[in-house]
Amino acid sequence: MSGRKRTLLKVIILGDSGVGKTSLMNQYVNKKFSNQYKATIGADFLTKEVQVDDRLVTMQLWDTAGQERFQSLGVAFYRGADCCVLVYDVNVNKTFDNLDNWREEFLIQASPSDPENFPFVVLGNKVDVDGGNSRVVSEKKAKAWSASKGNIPYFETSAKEDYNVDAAFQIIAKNALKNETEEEIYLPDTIDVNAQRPQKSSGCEC
Amino acid sequence: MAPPPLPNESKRENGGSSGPNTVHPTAAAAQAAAGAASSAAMAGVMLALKALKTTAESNGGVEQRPRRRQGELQNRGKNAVGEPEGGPAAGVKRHRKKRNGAGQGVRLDVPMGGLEGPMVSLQGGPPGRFQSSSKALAGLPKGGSLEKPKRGGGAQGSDSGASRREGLGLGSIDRGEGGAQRFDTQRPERTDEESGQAGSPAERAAAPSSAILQAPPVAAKASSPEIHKELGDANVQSQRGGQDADGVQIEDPPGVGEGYLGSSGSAVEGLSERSTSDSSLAEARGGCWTPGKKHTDEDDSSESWRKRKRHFFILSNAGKPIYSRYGDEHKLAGFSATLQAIMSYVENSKDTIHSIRAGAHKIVFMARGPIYLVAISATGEPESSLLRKLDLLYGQLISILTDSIERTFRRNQKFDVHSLLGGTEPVFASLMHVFSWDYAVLLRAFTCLPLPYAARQAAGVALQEIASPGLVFGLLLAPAGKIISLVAPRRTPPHPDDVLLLCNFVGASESFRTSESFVPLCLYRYNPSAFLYAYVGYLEPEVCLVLLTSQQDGFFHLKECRAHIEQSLRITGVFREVAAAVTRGGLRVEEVPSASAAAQRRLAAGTETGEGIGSLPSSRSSITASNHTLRQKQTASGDASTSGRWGPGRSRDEGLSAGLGGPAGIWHFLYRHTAVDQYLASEYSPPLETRAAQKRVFQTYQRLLASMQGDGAKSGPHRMQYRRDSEFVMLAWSTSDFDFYAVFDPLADKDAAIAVCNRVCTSIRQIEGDLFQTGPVPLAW
Repeated sequence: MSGRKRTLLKVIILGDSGVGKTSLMNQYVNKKFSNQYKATIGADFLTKEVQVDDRLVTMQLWDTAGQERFQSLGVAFYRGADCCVLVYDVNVNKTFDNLDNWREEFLIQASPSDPENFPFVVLGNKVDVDGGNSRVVSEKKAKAWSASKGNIPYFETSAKEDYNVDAAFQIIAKNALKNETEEEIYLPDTIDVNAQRPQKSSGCEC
Repeated sequence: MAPPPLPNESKRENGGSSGPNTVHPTAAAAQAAAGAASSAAMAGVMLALKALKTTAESNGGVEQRPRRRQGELQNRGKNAVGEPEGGPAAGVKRHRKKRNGAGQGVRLDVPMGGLEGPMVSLQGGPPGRFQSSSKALAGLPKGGSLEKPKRGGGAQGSDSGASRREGLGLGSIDRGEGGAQRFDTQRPERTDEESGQAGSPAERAAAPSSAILQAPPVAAKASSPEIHKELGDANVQSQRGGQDADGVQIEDPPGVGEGYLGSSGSAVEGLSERSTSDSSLAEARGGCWTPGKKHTDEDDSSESWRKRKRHFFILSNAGKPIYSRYGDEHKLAGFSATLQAIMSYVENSKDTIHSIRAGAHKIVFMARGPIYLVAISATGEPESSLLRKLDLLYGQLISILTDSIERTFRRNQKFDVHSLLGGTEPVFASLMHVFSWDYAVLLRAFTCLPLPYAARQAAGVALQEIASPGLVFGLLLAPAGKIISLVAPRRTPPHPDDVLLLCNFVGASESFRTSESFVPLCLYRYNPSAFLYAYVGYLEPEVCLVLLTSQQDGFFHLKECRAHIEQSLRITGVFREVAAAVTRGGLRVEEVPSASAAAQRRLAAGTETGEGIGSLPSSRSSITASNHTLRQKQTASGDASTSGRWGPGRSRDEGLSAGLGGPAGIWHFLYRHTAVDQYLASEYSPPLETRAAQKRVFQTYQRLLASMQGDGAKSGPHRMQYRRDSEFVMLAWSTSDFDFYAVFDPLADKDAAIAVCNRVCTSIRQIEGDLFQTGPVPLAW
């Protein structure tokens, strides 16, 4: 039991293309924002260390590409995720409607042991656009959807204005951690006392 | 986070040595803690898998790639000792899993920025180029004609097939019909090399050498007492050039170093050198190598990290870092994710990625269930040797955790193995050291401390006398992982890899030195699923006893056994012999008998009797005495008299006089005794006294061995090779009884070199009872 235990969390960020997944990550990790849109190809990986309560947590952020042609990444990417962040653009209805698909896709691919309680977080991004005048998905609607999916925490964010980004990721870390501590029990059931004369005496010696 | 589960009686007792003491590697765990929590370790690593995918899909035909013609290859330069050709090219090689039928391999050559920038991208850049690393050591038959690959088809990315090049800035794709074997066609340097698949050496060799290449006569052991004595004397006399330079740090020259502090001295720094507290001992051995992980403050955004020559990573198949040789695992989470993404992406298409080439870097992948292992090397070492190291790395992980870790992953894919490894950093750090210096890695064999036959027998008897149910192995270790005696049931002889990993584990853990310990440990070749329990205790500063039992509560019994063994060893004088042997060191090339000496020795045989228990000199006084005479002799003349005696100097009939080393310019040799899976390495001596030179020798052997085994599947195993580059003449010789490898002065004469090899092999056989544990090791347990 050394001073502080460090934990690594794998966080997957999903959502339609152009909703601002990469921008959110960049804002969170690098405190930078660019108006220029550059599609993510495949995936980007970033790490960020945060303190959650008394624990030092390294977040391994998997920023995936939103375009459908990259969806074949599938299982490999989602495997062993600790938390999944669903992002949509409050100014585009379609991106919100697709959250259902993203969530289901994730649950199918990652097949977490306890899908009901798997930690998701929903982010409604780009709330700054036009001072909110071009907004089409209401906060109420989004909250209702999040609540219906097992009380997923919901945040309204702006990567551009750095609004709510830190707070959202803090909750992401916290929820993932909560889930992790419940499950992570190393089973030292490895002691095979009958190791007397194990299988091989000849055969695959090399 | 207690690493391996520990038995009950394993509470640490600080008081004395009476109580059982369990090594708890956790102690050192805190060391790895990150610097500032605020510093976000960050590296944007972009992965353009799309490029990879598109190309893979549209890859229909066989790619024609630019490659050299044979004529050119034969006339290539002389000095490329297997340094891979750099350039901006990169190759991704994919192998179809065999069971997927077709047997087709795909290799994607993808240009890539290499590891130079923070961004690793599989996209963009100039077109890829055929992977044409010049395997200088590749065994090509005389005359330079390329051997046909064994598997059918044989297109091998050569001229048969249509060319197709993808857009996206991608390189070319090669789909060899005969499978995904790489086929390096560079013709190695000079043509005076010989190799052959079969047939007797005599058939292949040219007239002058053919006669010499016959198997050395097996001489009767008793016939050469004088040699033994002389050999031992001289050993002491020259007490290791490396040690003369004690404490001197030698910087590795560019292209060789891997970030180690230089330290002269023996190749494998073992038990005694890992001690930081025991500084006198460390100084005595000239070791500057310090235990523990280095450069933990780095990550993939650090310039220094990217410049490291050889990286090793372990990660889970979820992309969570488990181990990285350099840098902090958590800060490398992004890099680790990238590696996982690359592997998983290929895996998704029911395929397996084997390697990528990116400029001078070679990236080699290995998947062991849910554990992924990756090596990234710019040292130019063969893929096969990187795979070998990854396998050992996996073995070390399993030795700490057992493979039940796989079950854990099946239940919980998120599982973070890294957290279980707290405190084991020194074990892995030491393994990395072993990878660069320990010939056991290359030869898949262990090595014994040269010891008079009778002393080793006595040690074996002492181990055999103890009776303990469940006892699996008993081991007496000398420094540097050299074995004094090893006993095991006949039915389950220990695998050399298990011995290697066990020695590494024991040697790397400082706490073993100070008290008796009882630790759970898994031998992955023996039974990867179960823990054994190792009793570890140092009987003397240089003698470590390891007893492995399957019984969890065996400590107190083994403690009694230890007392018995200790007493027995003391009575029979084994400790004294070991101390003398450790001081004496191993065989030295300067002491290879000259031709005339060999002849006279035969005459002298029988007139002199060996001293001590065995044929090697066994008392310090006699050694010192003859040591004195040898020194006198050496100073008397540069071309010291070799009349009938072993010792420094080279007789005129050897034909070569340049440089240092042994007769005919022999600088170093390795001898592997096939029947017992043991090897013998000569001591490093001038001109190999620098760390850098020793490392080059190691790497040279590495390539030589790979080429003997037919690296790259281009040809089968070879029996013999003789090749020359700007640095060394290399000779490899494989027989059914032994394998022999030697490096010579680059100006060495071939016939003389072969003659010397014969003499070395002959003389090793004459004293093999002292050099190897050859006798039967019955175990009545």
